[in-house]
Order: sequence, then structure tokens, then C-alpha cells
Amino acid sequence: MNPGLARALIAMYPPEWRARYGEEFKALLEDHPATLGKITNIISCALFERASRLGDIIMNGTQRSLFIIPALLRRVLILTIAVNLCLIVIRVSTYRPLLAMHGSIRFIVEPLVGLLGCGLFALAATSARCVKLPGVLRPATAWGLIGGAILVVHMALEIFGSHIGENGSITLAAMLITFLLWGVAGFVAARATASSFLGLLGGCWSAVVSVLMAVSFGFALMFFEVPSPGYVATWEVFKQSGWSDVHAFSIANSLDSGFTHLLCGLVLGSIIGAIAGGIARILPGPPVPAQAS
Amino acid sequence: LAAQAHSYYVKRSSRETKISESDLGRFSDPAVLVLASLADGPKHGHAMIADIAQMSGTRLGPGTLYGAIARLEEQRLIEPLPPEDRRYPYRLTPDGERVLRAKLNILRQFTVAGLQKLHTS
Repeated sequence: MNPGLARALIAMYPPEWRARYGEEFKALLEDHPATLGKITNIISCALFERASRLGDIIMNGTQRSLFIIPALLRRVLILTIAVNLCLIVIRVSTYRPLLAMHGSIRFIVEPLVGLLGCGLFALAATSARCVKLPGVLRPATAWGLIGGAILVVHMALEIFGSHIGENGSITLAAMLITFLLWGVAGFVAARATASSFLGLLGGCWSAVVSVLMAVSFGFALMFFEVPSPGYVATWEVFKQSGWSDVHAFSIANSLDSGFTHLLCGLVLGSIIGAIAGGIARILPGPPVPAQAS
Repeated sequence: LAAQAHSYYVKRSSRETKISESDLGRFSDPAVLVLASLADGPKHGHAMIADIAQMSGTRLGPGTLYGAIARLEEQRLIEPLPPEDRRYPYRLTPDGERVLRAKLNILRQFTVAGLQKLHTS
């Protein structure tokens, strides 16, 4: 096998694995001809090694993981934000007529600012060396993922479900359930840590996870599923906008919706988390077991 | 006997760690093939692939082989020897030998029982 190809394949393994086995594995690969089967085998095993390492980190309840979990969650969130920034840049650069529309710059800049705000929040929330932090972020991430799944399903119903999702009751239910989940994240965090501030942090973290999921889904759809020009032309907001390009308007609409989600996530998540954290602190605590005499 | 053979206690870093065959994980079968290949002496990766192919007709992919080697070494069932050029030979540890022996005994019982069922059917 070509040494360059061997190096590229070994680079897919986790750094610790490469440090231990990289040199001898490279020697083995160079002794064998490259075949599609061998390359597939190496790639799948490398991915398995990475997944195993991730699983070890998530499942490991040791003291060390107290600081690994925030760092891991921070990386995932920052990566998601970076992907969304790229999606915006690619979408805008591949449809230049959007830039010619009146006021289009605002629609492009707003979600960029929203994503950067979420990124700053993720960095700030995970940089504190607080031993209670993993206990806040882990459940908040779980509640946030459930909330994000609800938002994504609702969006999918709006787009693929013959506009079922545009039904007011369904929209209201999806929103209220998601807000409730953010509140649960804040309540659980405050209850577990006896800190209203960490309740606020839990609620906001959960909200940011949810909205980033929904926004990623929405921005990805800009490339695959665009509303038909005829349908967009019937929108009242389009008629009032004065824009002549229906496709540019549907892209701007997605970007605007993304920004609204991000803003709501940060603001409402903080408010809901603070309220839930306050309730958790006011309510009486669980009964304390009687001391053995 | 099979139930007794199913799990072993392997000394690891001054503490007892229970290692069962299921702990060999996704690489269970390749791991046994690697252990069997090392049963007659130390070998490096290239030699193991050739030996396993000759012994069982299975040609392990390089990723699968090193996945198995990594887990077996982590469980202290094999250990590396000083490198020869860029190749690291591996050998069985006493725990590795015990695990291999028990695994092969289970396979033998399974084979005998399966053949008996075929004969009586």
C-alpha cells in the first residue's frame, strides 16, 4: 500500500490508538496491496475505535470525566455551530441574486450573529471548572435533544406533511412541550445542585441544544427542499416585502426563521431556566432519611 | 463445565478484574483467531494474518486484526515483544493461554454436541 494512503487511513483512528499502534500498523499496511475491501475494513474499524472512545467518555463516571464531559459537549456544540455557519455561507454564495435583494444583508447577518452568540454561550458555560457542571450539562443535553427532536418533527410536518404542522394547535403544542422540557432541565439542574443559577444554565443549555438541532435541520433543508415559487408567491409577507425573486425570499425566510429560533433559545431558555430554578429552590426538598441511632 | 469456563478472573494492575468471553466484544471471533495463532509462539501482524488464513480459511482485514490485538492487549491476554525492524511481535500471556484453552474446550463441546444431534436426526 502506498505510504501516503496508509498514513491517511491511520489518521482516521483516535490519537491515543495512533500513538500506540500507528507505526506498526503502518508497517503492516505497507506490506499489503491496497484493495477496496481492505480500505473499507480499515475505515470501519477506525470509526468503531472512535465511537468506542466516545462511548467510554460518555459512560465513564470517574472523577476525570467531570472535566471531559463539558469539553466534549463544547466540541460537539461548536462543531454544530461551525457546520451551520458553513451552510449559510455556501447557500448564500451559491445563490448570488439573494445579495441583490433589498435588505437581504440583514437576513444573512442575523443568523450568523445568533450562531456566534450560541457559540459564546457554549464556551462560557463549559469553561467554568465547577464540579457540579457535568451533572447540569448531561441531563440538560438529554432534555434539549428531546426538545430538538420535537421541533424537527414539527418542521418536517410543516414541510412534508401537507402543511399539517401549520395547524395552530399543533404548533402551540410543540412549542409548549419544548418550553416545558427546557423548564424540566432547569428544574432538575437546580434541584441537583441547590443552585438557581445552575438551573438557569441548565434551562438555557437545553434550549440551545434544541434550537441548534432545529436550525441545523432547517438550514440543511435550504439545499434539498425549497418551497415551490408558486406557493411562496401566495405568502402575504412575500407580497409585502417588495422582493421580486421568490427563491431568494424563501432562502431569506429560512435564515430569518433560524435567527428567530436561536434568539428564542437563548432568551426564553434563560427565562424558563431561571423560573424553573427558582421553583426548584422554593419547593421543599425530598424527605431526609432518618438517622440510624 | 461450560458455565464454569465462561468467566475467568484475571489479575490486572493489582486488582481482580472479571473477564468473560463476551468482554472480547465485537472482535470476539477475530480475538480467538489471534489467540489461537499465537498459541505456537510469538508472531507479528503480517505473520498472524497468513497463519490465521492457513489455519481457518479466514483472511482478517488489517483493521480487524489490530482491533482484536488492541483489545487483547488491553485485557492482558497478549503482550508485545521488543520490535523487530518496525514490526512488533506479540505473544500469549498465561491468562491469554487459559482463556484460549477454555474457549477451545467450549467449541469442542459445541462441535461434539452438534455432530451427535446430526447423527441422531
